Amino acid sequence: MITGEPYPIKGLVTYAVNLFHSLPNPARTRRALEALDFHVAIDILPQDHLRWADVVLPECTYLERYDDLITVAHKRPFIALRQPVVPPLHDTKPGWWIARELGVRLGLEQYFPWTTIEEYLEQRLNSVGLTLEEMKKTGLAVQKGRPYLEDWTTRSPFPTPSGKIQLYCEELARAGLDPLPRYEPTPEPPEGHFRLLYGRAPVHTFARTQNNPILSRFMATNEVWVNRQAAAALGLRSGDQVMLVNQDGARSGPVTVRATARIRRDCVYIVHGFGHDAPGMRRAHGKGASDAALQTRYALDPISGGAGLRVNFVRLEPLTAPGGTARARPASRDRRAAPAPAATARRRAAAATTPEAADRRL
Amino acid sequence: MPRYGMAVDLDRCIGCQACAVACAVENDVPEGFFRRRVGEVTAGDGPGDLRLAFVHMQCYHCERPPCVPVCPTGATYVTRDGLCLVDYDICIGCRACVTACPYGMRYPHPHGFVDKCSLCDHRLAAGRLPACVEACPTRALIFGDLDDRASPLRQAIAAAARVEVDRPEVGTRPKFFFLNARVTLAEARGEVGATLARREAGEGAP
Repeated sequence: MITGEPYPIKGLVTYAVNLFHSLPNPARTRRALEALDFHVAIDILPQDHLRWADVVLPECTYLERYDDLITVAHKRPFIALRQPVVPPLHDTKPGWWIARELGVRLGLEQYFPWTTIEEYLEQRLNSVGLTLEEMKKTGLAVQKGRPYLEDWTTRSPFPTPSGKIQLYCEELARAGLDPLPRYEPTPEPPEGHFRLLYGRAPVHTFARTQNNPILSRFMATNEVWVNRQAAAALGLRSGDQVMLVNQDGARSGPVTVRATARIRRDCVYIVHGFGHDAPGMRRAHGKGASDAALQTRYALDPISGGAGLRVNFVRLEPLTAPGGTARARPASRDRRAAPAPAATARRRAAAATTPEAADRRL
Repeated sequence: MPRYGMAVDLDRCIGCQACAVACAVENDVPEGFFRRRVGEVTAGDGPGDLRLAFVHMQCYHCERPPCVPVCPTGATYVTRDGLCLVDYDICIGCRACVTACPYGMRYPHPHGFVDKCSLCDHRLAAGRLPACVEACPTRALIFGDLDDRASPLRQAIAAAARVEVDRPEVGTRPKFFFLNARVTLAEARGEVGATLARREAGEGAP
């Protein structure tokens, strides 16, 4: 999209994706979006990439709409129906409605041989002997699956020349690739840097729930986990605010330090999905650091094409007080633990039920 | 009459806060306050020694609740089923109970009364489980009748390798049990007199 090679891309429709968090290097993503002539974004939230959209089509949430059937063909195949439980609260439309209306207006009506989603779902369900009425009641139709491996009694389930799982692959050798998987050490972090690791917390889903009013009560931001000894060597303590700065100068934060024995000394860790820039994401805006923002490089596996993103290195830049060199210690836990004697009983009581205070009590 | 209580099996808890989310929604808990939440504590000093536990914070529905005798209006009371409840119509919001609770499990509701976990008495009356118990994806939360040996609660307590209540020395006899904790509550709180319970006990202490 940036170079126009191998062919120019002029228009883009984004749906059910958060470009600046699910792809590394949002600065590069931004350049790609800026190179477009036209970008339509369909979303339920004012996510970061919507600021680069020419048109935003607001979709209603999953509790307010039908969607296409969810069909899963694993060991126990099932069909699941998503159906609205409340009418849309705002002036928003379901994705199927948006797709059909766009199609009709572009003269593509013949590809939408149905007018309502119920009609579409009914026909799909009828083809496997189910009805929409039934599915509305059960929500789910589970089929008896075949056992995955036990079922293969006469021949091997693996479509390989040997019929076995291949550790050594002739086909790869013929293609001039390494036929045997071999560990190749990744570069070590340079002096003063840590390898940036990222992962999930059970409270949040990808980068899409950080703005949720209930979930944000329980996890409003991420923290940067730093090995306790490594933090001490840097003069950092739990609760300190730092910026994360990567090997290419990309920055994210501020984010709170969590000095812990749960991580090795050469790595730091943050939970994915924080560090939203979009002001419309009112609760999540400016909270924590974004791993994607710090992933200005990635490694590609030459065989599978899988992307390795844990090849970025960050240093921790302590936030300094304005005009001074002293480390800023905003809202340290200790201070909150011991409210000033002048505080009213109401404020004391309120403070005692904040997450930090509750943790402290135990 | 049943004697209701609860337990958490910490071998099953994954700290997802689904219980706390369900609680906040079910009981319309205002933002910034909690009837129930789950904290995370670790102990130990590195590989091989590290232990993690989730600390469940809610009213323990004590057998000898210190919040009851201090209430000037009788708004806080214990039901015949062993639930410690607040009558919001009588409560004057004086917060004597907030001070008296040694666990800090009560909060002053912005509407002028004091609130806390009710074990979802409104759901129990309808034959349903507390919202937190129903929402738990790993079935780590167990509700039941302590006087009934066949209740899931009694069975879980009997089967647990370790059973702990919070601060037994204060004599409140909590009816909330921590099962199979890898970090004891005493460890989680830290030593008496020390700067208590930062997020991770013993970690990053100043």
